[in-house]
Amino acid sequence: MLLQNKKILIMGIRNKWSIAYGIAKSAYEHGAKLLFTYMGEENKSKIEELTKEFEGSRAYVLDGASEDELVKEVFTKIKDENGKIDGIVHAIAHANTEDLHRDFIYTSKEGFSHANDVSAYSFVLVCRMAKELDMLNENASLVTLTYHGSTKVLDGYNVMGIAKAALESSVRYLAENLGKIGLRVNAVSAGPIKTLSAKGIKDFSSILTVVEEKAPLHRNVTTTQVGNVATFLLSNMSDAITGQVIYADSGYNIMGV
Amino acid sequence: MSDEEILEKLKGIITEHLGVERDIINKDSTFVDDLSADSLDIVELVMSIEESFDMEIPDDDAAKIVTVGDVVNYIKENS
Repeated sequence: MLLQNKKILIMGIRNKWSIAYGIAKSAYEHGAKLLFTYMGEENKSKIEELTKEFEGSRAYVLDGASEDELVKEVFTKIKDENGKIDGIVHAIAHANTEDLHRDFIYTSKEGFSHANDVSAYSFVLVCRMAKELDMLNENASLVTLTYHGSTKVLDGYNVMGIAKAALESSVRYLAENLGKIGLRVNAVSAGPIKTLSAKGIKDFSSILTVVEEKAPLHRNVTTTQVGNVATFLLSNMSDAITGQVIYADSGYNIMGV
Repeated sequence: MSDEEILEKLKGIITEHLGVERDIINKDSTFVDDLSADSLDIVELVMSIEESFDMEIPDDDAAKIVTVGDVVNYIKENS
């Protein structure tokens, strides 16, 4: 049981297709006690239904993961009700649909800021608040989710690629800052998975086909497989690893053509 | 599958996603106005339909769907 006696906060669960849900399943199987944040008070019953299989879990609404005051408020509540925690998974990102449906060069100032704010700054904020509110136990681990579109051009990923590049670079700087107090920060770069977010990307299903054709393992990845990598990064088994982007993509990223 | 069978299966999916009563759903119900679905609900519904009926619904086709009857017809024509 890699996560026995560990409390893990998973931020950004939405439905059974969410990568956050795959991570929750894996972490729970490995003994973790789970806490969640989700968006939209109106989704309360849906999220409770979705997470009821994780015994003893609690879910908190957070509408605005890049808003300093809102994150502070919900983190304070989480700490008051659960004590210190051992890990945080950040599975939050957003870009405006119009910025994903036309050439990247036309991204608006507002759209550029929005994608970076929600998808990259939110993780910096989460790390800072967790530190300032003294929420984390010794050896805690923080994990975020990224995608290969940060380094390679994928038609339709557009401004989200820039946001993921900012996120991956943030992981390195955060790892240095938090390393001083023994905390670890890493990212999992998941292969393409059909999630609600992926549905916003034009011609997403063709990306899935290419991975099956070209990845060394010739198959796509599941949210559970990504979850297992996150579980490893949350566990003490990975305590020599920080500041890294770990690919969970059937090896697709190593291929040339 | 007959129209009726498709409709019955769809009602189950819609009830689960939108939390509406099964009895109020018919072929003429519109997702946005009658069943109060927002844009994210609709994407989730599309994902559920793709899974349940083992098919792919391209974005352009999904954008044309307005009523429950549209989905029944789409499934009949494409599965």
